[in-house]
Amino acid sequence: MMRARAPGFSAITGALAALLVWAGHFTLIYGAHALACERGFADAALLGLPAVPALVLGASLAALLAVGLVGWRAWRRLDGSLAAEAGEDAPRFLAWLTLATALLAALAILWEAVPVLLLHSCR
Amino acid sequence: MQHSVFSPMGPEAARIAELAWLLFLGGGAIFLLVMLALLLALGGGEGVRRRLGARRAILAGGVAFPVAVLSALLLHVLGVAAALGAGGREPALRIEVTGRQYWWEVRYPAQGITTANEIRVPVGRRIELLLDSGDVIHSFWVPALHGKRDMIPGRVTSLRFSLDRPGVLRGQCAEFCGTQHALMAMLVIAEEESAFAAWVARHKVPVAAPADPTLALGWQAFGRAGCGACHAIHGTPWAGRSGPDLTLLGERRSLAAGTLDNHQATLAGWIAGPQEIKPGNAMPAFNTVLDGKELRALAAWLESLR
Ligand code: HEC
Ligand SMILES: [Cu+2]
Repeated sequence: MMRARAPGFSAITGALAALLVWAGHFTLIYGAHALACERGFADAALLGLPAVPALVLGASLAALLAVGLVGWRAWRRLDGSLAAEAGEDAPRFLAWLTLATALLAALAILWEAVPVLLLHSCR
Repeated sequence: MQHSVFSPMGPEAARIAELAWLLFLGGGAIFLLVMLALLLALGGGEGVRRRLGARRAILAGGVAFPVAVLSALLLHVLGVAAALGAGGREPALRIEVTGRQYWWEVRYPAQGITTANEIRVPVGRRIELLLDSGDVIHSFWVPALHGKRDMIPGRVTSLRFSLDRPGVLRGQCAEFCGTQHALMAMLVIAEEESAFAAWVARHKVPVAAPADPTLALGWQAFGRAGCGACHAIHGTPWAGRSGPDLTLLGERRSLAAGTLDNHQATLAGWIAGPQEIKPGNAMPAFNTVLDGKELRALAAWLESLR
């Protein structure tokens, strides 16, 4: 069957997964931050912590964890099983791609989260 | 007159200028490095070219270096932004500025003063501008003072700064707001505390009907033409708010938000034909309402408001 050798849908979503996590993180922190400022929750507290930074930090840690998982699985595929399948280029390429997008997404998430530590919300 | 980012007049503008230099010089240096690498890749010896093309060189120069530089810049810029935004001390002087098509209303709530197109501030004091808009989005930008700040209808933005030394700073609306956006400038005049206090005091002296016959004719023409429906002059019955406050108009350096120098002749020209000078602005022409004698008298009286 021809389709057996094609990477398939799940491999592509695998390569995109980290970027999707980044997109979700981006939408969440921008949306939540804007909403908090607009509705006057800017200085609200959550368990004694300032709510907006706590939320952004929590979301960032969760997103980094998810992206880390995606990257780690790609790394393992590169390391072990694929070595045996010499000559199979597509899976190897996809694993590299997944790893690279995971690194990119991690960096982007970090860069988006730093301002919350250095700047006052809503100003 | 200062209107350059590169001649900062206060600590805030100085930090922004430093940042600009860092970006220009750093960007220039990196550009030269890249061009050098390109030259070597094109014309270098075999060994140099192999080392440039190695995976390690590509990862170091193409990934690690940009990530390190951009991360460092991000932290630095956020540090500057945090320092600029830090309120800390309560500002000593609050001034409200409202952007309108195509001029600036300026109010000093604590002093009870309204003026237009010129913002007088004392040097050395911490100042806070509260910015909003009466119509569309404008942007307040005085390059030698601070960064741009949008003026948004229904929302108040703020700008905190201080000025080190006396001077005249030119500013400009920096968000396209209509046909005459380009003729929407303003001046910030920084002066010693005593001069500022004297200006405030002069502003609070009620303007009275003049005794001189020519000036008195001007005063009457102002009333007859209905200027007071749009313009206010402190101490008179005229209290319109849809045009600039004209108290102490004779002291202002320019007319119609930096469009004309301010003297009798330009004043008469403006009143007769504002739509020729600044087409589409909200002031109607009075060349058919006032005759030449009234126009000259009106210009003379307005110039005498000082
Ligand atoms: C319909 C309202 C209206 C009327 C009536 C009106 N003006 Fe104006 N005037 C304005 C507006 C608005 C501006 C600001 C125009 C701009 O710069 O965009 C202005 C600007 C001016 C300026 C320049 C002020 C400054 O701060 O630079 C002068 C002087 C002036 N008007 C004088 C007069 C005189 C004198 C009359 C009566 C003969 C008059 N105006 C009638 C609306 C009006
Ligand atoms: Cu404008």
